Amino acid sequence: MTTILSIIFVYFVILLIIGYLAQRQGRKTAEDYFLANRSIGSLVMTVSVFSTLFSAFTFIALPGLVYKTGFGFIPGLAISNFLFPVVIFLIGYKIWLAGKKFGFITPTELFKHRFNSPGVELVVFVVMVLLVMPYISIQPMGGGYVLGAITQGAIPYAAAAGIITLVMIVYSVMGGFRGIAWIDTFQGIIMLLVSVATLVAVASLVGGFGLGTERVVKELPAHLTPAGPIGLWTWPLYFSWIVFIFFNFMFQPQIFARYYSGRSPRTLAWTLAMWPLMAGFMLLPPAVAALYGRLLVPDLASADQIIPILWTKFLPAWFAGFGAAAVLSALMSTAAGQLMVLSSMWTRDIYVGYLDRKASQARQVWVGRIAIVVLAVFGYAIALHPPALMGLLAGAAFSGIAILAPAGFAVFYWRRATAPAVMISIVGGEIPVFFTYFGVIPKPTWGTFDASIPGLIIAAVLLVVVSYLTAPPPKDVVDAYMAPDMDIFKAIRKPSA
Amino acid sequence: MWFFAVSLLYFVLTLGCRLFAGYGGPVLGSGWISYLLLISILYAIACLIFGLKTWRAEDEAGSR
Repeated sequence: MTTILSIIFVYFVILLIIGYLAQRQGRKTAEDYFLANRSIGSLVMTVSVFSTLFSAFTFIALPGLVYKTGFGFIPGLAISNFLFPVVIFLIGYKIWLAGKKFGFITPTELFKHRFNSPGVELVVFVVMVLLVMPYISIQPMGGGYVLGAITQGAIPYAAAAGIITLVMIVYSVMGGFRGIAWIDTFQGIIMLLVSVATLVAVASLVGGFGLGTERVVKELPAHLTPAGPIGLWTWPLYFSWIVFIFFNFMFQPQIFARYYSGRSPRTLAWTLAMWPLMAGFMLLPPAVAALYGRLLVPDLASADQIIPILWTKFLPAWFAGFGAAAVLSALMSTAAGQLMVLSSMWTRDIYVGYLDRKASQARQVWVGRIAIVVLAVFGYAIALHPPALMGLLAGAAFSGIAILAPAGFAVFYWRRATAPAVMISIVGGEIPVFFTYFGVIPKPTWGTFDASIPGLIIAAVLLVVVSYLTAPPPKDVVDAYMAPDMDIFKAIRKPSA
Repeated sequence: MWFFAVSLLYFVLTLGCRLFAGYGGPVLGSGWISYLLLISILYAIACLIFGLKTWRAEDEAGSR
């Protein structure tokens, strides 16, 4: 136990040191605090995008799903994750260009400017806050449970969630976005190493890859069928997962800050190039390890615990310590990125937008810091006593973010999209998602499709219909988004002589 | 534009892996998983090539 606790302690100390080092490079401007002065390089950008998108799902929920429902949804996960480079090119590069051209810091500033409407800004703000806030509370909750399990109760749930929250507050307040991005990089490397090491170690426990695989084929044949042992992965559900993960990744609020913060388009090029490799090394090993794990622990009541149990029961204490660090990395990198983007939105959209239009740069930084503390403490309070509403919102969060996709595409690719249409599209698309996750609409209404599928269809139809029924947007603003300096395809054309 | 065609092909082939489940293959005793791995590796290589070529033109233009 001392070994595990020592590794976790050293891990937290390293995070704080990185946060302190980042603070020393910081300047007191909003652009520096929220976006590291748009100076993030290729390595930090690549690993930071990766670690903020991959949450504790990777080590907890994903292996749990494979353990319980088989390997059948892995191809869906491969499609939605591997095709992310297309998103980086079509959306990420556009966001980078717009951020550079117009000086945007928050995702909502982009929507407000493009549609020339504070109403659009408000709708996007409310949706993002409602759907991101539960994530911020879920991460300390997950960390609390996992640390409690790995340390066998040596760190109680409330203390573990509290320590995680405190460390996140300190490094985010100190280092700002720069600190978070550097820490993301350190955390992403830990996540990748532990993911691969876990597979190698668990394979050795079942007699090596060859023997382990033979045993899986013989003993768990149903786990290798597309529908899985309990027949969960029907075509509609499989398709739903592909769609909502793909669109969710596209418009996660914290991803905007990553795109804005790149030093040059080349930073995005590296992210694009390395993404499938990193996603493959992150997702496949825990999934296969869970299959091997089922051979070792066949009757686990809580499938989500399979990887932590393999670490604690079958591997040395130091491995469990690094495993705990990897889970903490996964959840803290996601939560800190979300804290930072919500803090920037509060500061820029609400404080500067409505309360103090002439706020100095230094004041904006302090407002952002206070917002981080308040949001993180609020998340911790929820983690201690989760209200039923937060559980329902958390359920809707993944699908709900995906609903922003039609409006998000229209920002860059459809001149005719209007502000009223965007607002109605988002609200209309969220209705089936919220109503289904809140139990107002029975889930079987959509067959085995997730509610995000009807939500996306409604959002797209409303966007088109209402846009044609309302007055076209101001030509000068639209022209600015369709101008040659916003052309992404010049990136793949040969330079003219 | 080849990258978008390859991405579409990856999408179709990955769906195809599920359609043709049951055919024999060397990985995990199941054909569709073998093919999924193979086409995913090929797609990862395609992304590497595309990523490293993309925005290079801009760099070259900027350095002249």
